[in-house]
Amino acid sequence: MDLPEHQTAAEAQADGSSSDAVWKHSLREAVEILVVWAVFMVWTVGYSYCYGYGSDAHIGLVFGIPAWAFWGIAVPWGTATLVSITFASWWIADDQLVDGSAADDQGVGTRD
Amino acid sequence: MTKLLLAASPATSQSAIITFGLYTVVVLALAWFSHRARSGRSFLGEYFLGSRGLGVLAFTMTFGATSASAGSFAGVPSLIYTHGWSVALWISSYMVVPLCAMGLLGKRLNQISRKTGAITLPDILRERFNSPRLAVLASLLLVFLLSVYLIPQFKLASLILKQLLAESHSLGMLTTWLTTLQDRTGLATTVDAEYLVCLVFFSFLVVIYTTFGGFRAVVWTDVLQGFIMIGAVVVLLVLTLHQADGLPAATAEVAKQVPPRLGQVHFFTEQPAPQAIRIPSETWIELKDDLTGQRRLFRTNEGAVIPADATISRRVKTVELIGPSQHSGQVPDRADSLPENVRPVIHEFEPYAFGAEQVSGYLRCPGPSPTNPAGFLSLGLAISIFVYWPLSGTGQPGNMVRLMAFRTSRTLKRSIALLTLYFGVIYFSLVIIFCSARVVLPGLDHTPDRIMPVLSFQISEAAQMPWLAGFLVAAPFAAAMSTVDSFMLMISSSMVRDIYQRNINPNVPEKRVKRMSYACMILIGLIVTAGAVNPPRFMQYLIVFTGGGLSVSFLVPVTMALYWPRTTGLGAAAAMIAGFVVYLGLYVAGYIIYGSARPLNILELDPLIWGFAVSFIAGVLGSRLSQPPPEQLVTRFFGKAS
Repeated sequence: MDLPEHQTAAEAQADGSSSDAVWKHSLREAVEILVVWAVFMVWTVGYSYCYGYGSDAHIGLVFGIPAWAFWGIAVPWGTATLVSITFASWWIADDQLVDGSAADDQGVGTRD
Repeated sequence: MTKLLLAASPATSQSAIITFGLYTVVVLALAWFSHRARSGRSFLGEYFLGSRGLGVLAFTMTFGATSASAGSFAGVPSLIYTHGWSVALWISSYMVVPLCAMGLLGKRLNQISRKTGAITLPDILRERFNSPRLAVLASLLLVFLLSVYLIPQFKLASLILKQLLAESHSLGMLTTWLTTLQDRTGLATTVDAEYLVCLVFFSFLVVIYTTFGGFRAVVWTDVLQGFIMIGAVVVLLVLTLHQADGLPAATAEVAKQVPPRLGQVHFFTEQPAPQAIRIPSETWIELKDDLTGQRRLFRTNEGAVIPADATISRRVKTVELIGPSQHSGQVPDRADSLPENVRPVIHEFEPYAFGAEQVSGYLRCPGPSPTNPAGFLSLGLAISIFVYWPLSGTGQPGNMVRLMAFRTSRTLKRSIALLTLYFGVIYFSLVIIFCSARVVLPGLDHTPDRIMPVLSFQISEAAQMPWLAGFLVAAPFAAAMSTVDSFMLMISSSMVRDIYQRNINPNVPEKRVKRMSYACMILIGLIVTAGAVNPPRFMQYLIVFTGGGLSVSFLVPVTMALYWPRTTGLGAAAAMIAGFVVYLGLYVAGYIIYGSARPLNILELDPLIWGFAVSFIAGVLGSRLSQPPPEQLVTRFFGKAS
């Protein structure tokens, strides 16, 4: 399921705009992916730096994992997994990758 | 590379060999089926790109298996065992690697490759910039870096095979025959005959199935190998935690441990023995300190032999467990298992450069380090590595080729989700397994490269499932194989398609292309095998260098080509060359300054980060300073401005 603002290549053609829809969608999604990456970098490295470094002999455990690694790595990892799945499934536009102007495939099969 | 030694009984080894043999048969069968499936389709597109028909499972597994090289199952476990939980932070950016490596370029790259009929990365660059010279530059860089990258992969796979087949009767016969041949001819006499046999077997296997089956065979075997990898990790996780009494108990034991001292011992007897005396690797030695009377506990990390009619062995790498580590995990209470009349001589033992004597050091950052006085993972390195993995994964040409081969954008979306789960299970599990391995298998700190196979054999024996060892050891072998086959195919496609067909003979008949592709693959196999017979030093260094070199050469030019209409051929070439030169320069500078295989990390940032930055600047400047691309070309790839 795509969000309403996503426009397929065919729709772009229909409404008269002629710039490449796959390009526009991919560019916007690439920027959003970089934002996701930056958020998880700040969370993971920031939290781990605050609570994982030092010389304190006592380290708390959560389910057998050092507490800093649980909250600073395991939890963001799980969250990143959910975000990635959500982003991929519902946010990335479902674009048509083959168009009528496709060049001769020069030996590439015709399965698509 | 550390010499690998078996820690398994002959029965375990024989069962493991049978399991491994079955795996080999299945791989060859897949190549045969792939060859049959290819008939009736156009050769080039099918052989090098599988007709762009990859579905979700095939695309996910081939992407995951190609990304996970032998290093994931040899280097990463070794790092975790040595530096503890700090490696969890080091590897944590794998949480976003699938999203970045597939999502940043995937859809657009796939679209452009279809639009232009491109089947290789240089093909894309040629069409996008209408520049045959840029395509040749890209092809030459690819061929050079990929060929160098293959040599350590061949070596590592052969060492794994050697370990697995150590008890095999056939290997023994072949080795004896080869040793005789070496002595008679005087050729390669310094090369271990066992290693040579395994290298030839590995090369033969991988060349046969890649040549015969092409891209489709590579993808099918990648799927098999991907399942083997995740299966092996899950089994290892369950059995290791079972042996360690669960993760909380294992972590509590690891908390007690302090980094050991590393040194060497040799062994002697008073009288020469008529037969050689063998002291196996992982032998425990317990002594009393002459001055303090305290217990000193050692574990050998290599096997030693006192030859017949001699009284002394060579020195072997040994670990001394100190303080509370002597009573942690599965360290025996009484630990002297030396053969009768054999005595050890203890040489100097060195403490860790960081973390020595510190309790709980394995549970926190920066993590103990035997060589770095600042510890394993400084803050700068942590930031750097969080940038490194996603960008390096995105920029790998092997991954980019796969992005050209998935079927629809829906395939891409589902694969991102599936690969995120796959990597999460594999990499987080590896941290848990090999931190817990410090409890199950203590004192392997001097040769930690062996931890994966040694642990596999130990837990398989403990679980009374000797065949399991073959399955577990197949994982790193499969990882090496799945990387090697993809890269061989890319080298072949660069030579046949990008250099010969596109520049020398555009009208070459398909039959000749086919023959040339086969011949090229066999030639690459022979050259890399020859290189791996006596490989250069610093293998791990080579893997890291060439892997990073590929990313730094291709990520920025390809990204700019796909997303920025103003990019020109000159800009792309400048990005490619500048990135690689800066990256290479920092490695060379590091070698000159430190006198060892170590790059120069300015501001503690990996050379790859500097390479990307300079590549980006050079790409923008090169494009801005050259003539804008023709409107027709821009319209073809970006449409008309609305």
